[in-house]
Amino acid sequence: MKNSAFLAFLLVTLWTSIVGLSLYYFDAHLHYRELNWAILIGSILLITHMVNMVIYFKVRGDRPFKWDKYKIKGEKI
Amino acid sequence: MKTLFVNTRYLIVPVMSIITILGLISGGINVWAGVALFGISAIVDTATKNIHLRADFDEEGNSYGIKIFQYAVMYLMLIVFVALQLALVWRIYQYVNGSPFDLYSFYGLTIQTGITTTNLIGAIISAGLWAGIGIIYGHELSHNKKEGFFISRLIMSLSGASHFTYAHVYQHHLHLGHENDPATAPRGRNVYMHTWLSHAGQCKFSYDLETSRLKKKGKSFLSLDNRWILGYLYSLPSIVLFVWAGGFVGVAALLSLWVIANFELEALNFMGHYGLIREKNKPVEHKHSWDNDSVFTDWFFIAIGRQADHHVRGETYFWELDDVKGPNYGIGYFSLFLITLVPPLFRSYMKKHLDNWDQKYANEKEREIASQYGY
Repeated sequence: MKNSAFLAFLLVTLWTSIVGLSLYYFDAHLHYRELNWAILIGSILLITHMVNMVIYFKVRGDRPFKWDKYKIKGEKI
Repeated sequence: MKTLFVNTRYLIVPVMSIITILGLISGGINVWAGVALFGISAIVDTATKNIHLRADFDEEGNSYGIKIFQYAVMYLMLIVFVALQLALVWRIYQYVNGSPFDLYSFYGLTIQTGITTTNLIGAIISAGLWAGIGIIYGHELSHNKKEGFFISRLIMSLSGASHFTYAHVYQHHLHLGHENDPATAPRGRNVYMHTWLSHAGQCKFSYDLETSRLKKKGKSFLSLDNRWILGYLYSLPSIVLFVWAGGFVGVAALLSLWVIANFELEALNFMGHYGLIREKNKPVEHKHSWDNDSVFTDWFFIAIGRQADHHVRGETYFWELDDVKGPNYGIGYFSLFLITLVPPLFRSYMKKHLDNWDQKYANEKEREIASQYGY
């Protein structure tokens, strides 16, 4: 599972779903036209995105950016 | 006269961006203006693909470009791209409110209030396409060491890609042609996979850079000194605005706009270096970038297609970049972009170009590395 793309996808989906459901639970969809709510919702969404990126970096490391998987011959790591 | 021509020919994007904004404000079918202009640009680019011009200098070798004018345009484009988002937000607001359809006239511009779902989709695509074009200014200004760098960060933040400004200068320019540069696409990768990997890779570079820098300074990662966090905070006004205007619809619209804009950004990176190889720690040469300098591409993209010259002389103003006889696709960015959208077609198209590069430009070691990959 280490460095797994599936694990990264799972964690990102889980985290985003928790945030989404929490926003719904607190009726964010009914209050977004109030400026304070809009700022709060916007900030939460931004933090959610940043945390998602960090989850991806931590789980996948540098592996996705290596060229190894595109090799058609030669030594692979 | 020559000075006027050289300086105004780079105004295609500002003019088309303003027309796109007017289309969004005008409403009705006019919200598709941005999509139409993008299509027209693709046709003109393809029709003029064989016209290649050199940079213009006077008899004493001085450029006709007026720095203060070009910089003023680039700085003003930040306001234009903000206006683009505001116009879209206004349409989202009307859509969510179910505003009635009515016609008004404002200084000669006919404005239709209310918007259908189909036209809202058109408005989002139009805005996304032209927000994405904003990267040409974000890119040029990233090479400025003064306030231009900050303006670049702000322009890129409108597409949620403020990390680009650091990653482009301190990662891409130093590591291109090598796997340490996520913006260089290896042979075999398609533009869709590249979009995510290049975006995430550059973002990770900025994240790692700040983690290490703040650690050395003994500061917490969670700080306003953190330029990775700061970059995202620059995007916050956009997010709040879209949330306020449309709730879930607004968030979906902003997400779509960011995806379209970042796809364009990474497609440019993809086309600029696809399949080119550089030995680690060897100098960056003209041969490590693909040029796209047909006349329309050159003027529209403010010479961003003169990649070979740009990567060797990174601090050179775009209007001074020239054809340095580096590897050249021979067609413009719009034509090539359409080919990249179909990966099998792109790989087939690239075969002759990569074979040519391997034979004429690559050294022995680069050829050896290239032989391990397909097309």
